[in-house]
Amino acid sequence: MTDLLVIASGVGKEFSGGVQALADVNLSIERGQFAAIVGPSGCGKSTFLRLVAGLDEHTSGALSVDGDAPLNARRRRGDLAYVFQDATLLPWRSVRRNVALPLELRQQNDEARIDEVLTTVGLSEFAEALPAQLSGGMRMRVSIARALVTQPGLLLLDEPFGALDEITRQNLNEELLRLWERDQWTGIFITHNVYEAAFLADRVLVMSARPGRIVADIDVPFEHPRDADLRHQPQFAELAREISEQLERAHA
Amino acid sequence: MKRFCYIFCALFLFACGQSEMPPPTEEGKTRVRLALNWFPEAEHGGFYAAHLHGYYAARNLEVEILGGGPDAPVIQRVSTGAVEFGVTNADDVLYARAQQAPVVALMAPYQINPRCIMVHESSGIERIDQISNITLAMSQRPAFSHYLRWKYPLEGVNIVPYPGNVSQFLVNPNFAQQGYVFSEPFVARQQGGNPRALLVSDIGFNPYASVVIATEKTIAQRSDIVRAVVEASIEGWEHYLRDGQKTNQYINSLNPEMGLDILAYGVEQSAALVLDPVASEKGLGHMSSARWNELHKQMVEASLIEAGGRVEGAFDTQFLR
Amino acid sequence: MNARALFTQVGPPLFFFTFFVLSWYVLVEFFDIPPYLLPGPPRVAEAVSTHADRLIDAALLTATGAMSGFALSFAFGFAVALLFSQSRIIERGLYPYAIFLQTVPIVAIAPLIVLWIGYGLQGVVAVSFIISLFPIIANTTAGLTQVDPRLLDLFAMNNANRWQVLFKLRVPNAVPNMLTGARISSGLSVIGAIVGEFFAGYGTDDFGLGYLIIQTSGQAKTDYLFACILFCTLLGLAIFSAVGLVSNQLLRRWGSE
Repeated sequence: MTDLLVIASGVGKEFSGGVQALADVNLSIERGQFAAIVGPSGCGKSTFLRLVAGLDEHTSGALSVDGDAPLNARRRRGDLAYVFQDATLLPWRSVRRNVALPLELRQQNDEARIDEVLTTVGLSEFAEALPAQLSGGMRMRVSIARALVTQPGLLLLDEPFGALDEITRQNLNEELLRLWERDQWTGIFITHNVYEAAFLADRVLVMSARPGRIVADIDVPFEHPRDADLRHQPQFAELAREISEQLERAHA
Repeated sequence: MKRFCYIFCALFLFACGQSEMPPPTEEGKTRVRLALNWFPEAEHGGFYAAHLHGYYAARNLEVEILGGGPDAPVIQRVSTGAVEFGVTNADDVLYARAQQAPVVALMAPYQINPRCIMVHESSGIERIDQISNITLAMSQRPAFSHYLRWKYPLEGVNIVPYPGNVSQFLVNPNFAQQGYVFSEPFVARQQGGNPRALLVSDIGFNPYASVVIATEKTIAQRSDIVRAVVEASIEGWEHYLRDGQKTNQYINSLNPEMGLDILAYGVEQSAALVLDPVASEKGLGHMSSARWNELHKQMVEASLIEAGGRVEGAFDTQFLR
Repeated sequence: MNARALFTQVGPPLFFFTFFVLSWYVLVEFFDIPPYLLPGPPRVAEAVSTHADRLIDAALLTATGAMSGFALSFAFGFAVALLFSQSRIIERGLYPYAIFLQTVPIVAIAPLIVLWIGYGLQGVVAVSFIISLFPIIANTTAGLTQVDPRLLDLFAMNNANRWQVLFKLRVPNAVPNMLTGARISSGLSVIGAIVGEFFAGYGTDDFGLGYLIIQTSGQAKTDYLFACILFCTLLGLAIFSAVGLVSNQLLRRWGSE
């Protein structure tokens, strides 16, 4: 029996100005699955992620997280984490104290855990640095470390690497993949980059232009552990092409 | 700080060269300006009377009387030629001359300075030397406040800035303040207070008040005009003391703050201060070198001006009757 | 700071100061401006040295008034801003009255303040407080309310409560704004203290710079008056620089370089 963590049926979102961002989104995501949502920019994929996070409310249809309304699920479980498009760090806090924030807000103190995630993202040496002193890629690593520090059950990633250069993006993709392979959290990853989606996810959902709907659900068959070499395999190119075609169709 | 701005304006005028007298009027009258040291009040009544009743016009003068207020830089404006004549007090003339301002006093309407200390009658204080254990509001500007502090121990007296009105006085029975004898006490009484006015002149410090001044240069070059202004002003003052009603209506129209009742009280009280026995005998506006020397001596004693200065030149009696 | 950095820091102001004093001197000498209009630098210098003791005492007293007023407005302004940040209704309802503080003609209400609060230091502090309060309220409120919405989302994702959002996000976020407000206020507090002294004084034998300004300008002692103004300027500069120094240190630690 499959264990569905996120279930959306006919989910729509209309903003107060009358803009219909999402219409009739149907999908379900299994526990432990890493799903990517790709779509043209402005299609509402980030909006959908915010609905799952309980940061916004949907206006039609039904959406549940762990059998509960998203906001309730977030409050009850306390293990949802969200990685924003920008690093979204507190500029007055050092790297270590930024990573410590989610624990602090839960009135917890676990220095060993902080050290562990800092090591995981390779920032041990920069623990005392301020965000302004870091490069964009390093800041994003801090952001990921902050999301991981509470050992989330559901990790929502909203185009986290969109603003980075290609090399940095690929490196971070590989690191993120390694982390998932180790901890197997449920992940929803928003991107408009088909290669990134194919490389990271078990499943790629293609969203149409606004109002967004899921128009294709593509299974990614590659075995874990995957490595950088996967990008050069013919099957990988084939899958990327298929996603691209779906995406182009979604655009039309 | 307003005074400071004026100083800069004056400085600007100075740098641009001293302004000349304004052109004559269409009827050929000589135009001059007279700057007052306060808002139009009874203490300027004679000048307004001279204007209103044609004494200036009879001497072929068109006098523009410019109202002042707190910080009105009369002496600076006269010194720089921004105006030809000013009205100020004798102590200010000596202050200014100590700083090399070339101003000269020409006539002195008030033989007895109207300055008083207003106390509550309930305080039991009847003379200035009895003042003790009260809060006393006095401005740091005029010389009398420094002289008072120098001359008397003022035991237990807390000296605070002059508030510009009588509201503190009315709410605080332990409060005294400076005033003009025909102004603040009148207002305080009107508002239900029971004040007693102690004239500062009674302690022997008595600078001439509402003195007309001009520069040494104006006196040397336009003595005809100076004479005309002084003579007409004297006649104006005589008229004002004799019959001030119309003038008071005029002052009231310029400065509605000053009600007709307080102006009537002002002119009534002024009579004794302007036409004291000396002026009654020697003529309105009289100035004596003995009085000027006495003032100078007192100001030196109280360290208000440096010793060694000369009083000669601070006043000129040639235009008086 | 090495010698070169020191020079680039101090050099230009020093150059203009020298230029200004020289021009002033030349202006006074060349046009033969009498001292009652504008005293030359030597006369002012002489007045400073003659009256140094009194000027220093006065400056210290004025500094006490100004710094007390500033400290009060900082504490009170911060509290008001905290209140504003917690409720839009309170902010909308009270902000217009806060603006009143900025537009009120202090010269008109200073006599009233004296009437209510009394003469002496407390009156001076009250005027200084009122004049310097608004920039603290306005800037701190802005810092507390203008928070990056993604940071608010981040706190929401971690189920942060109202107080955590306030003290771990809004308050630290407001620190740079508070420091800007503090800088503006520190200069205003000196002006406030001087204006306060015009009206409230300190009592018989104590003089602040404001009181001395009234006295010297009334006596046409312009050289002494200029010395007072010079001390006012130096006092303002000292307080402003001290606040500036503290805020620069803090801002560096705040990661907003």
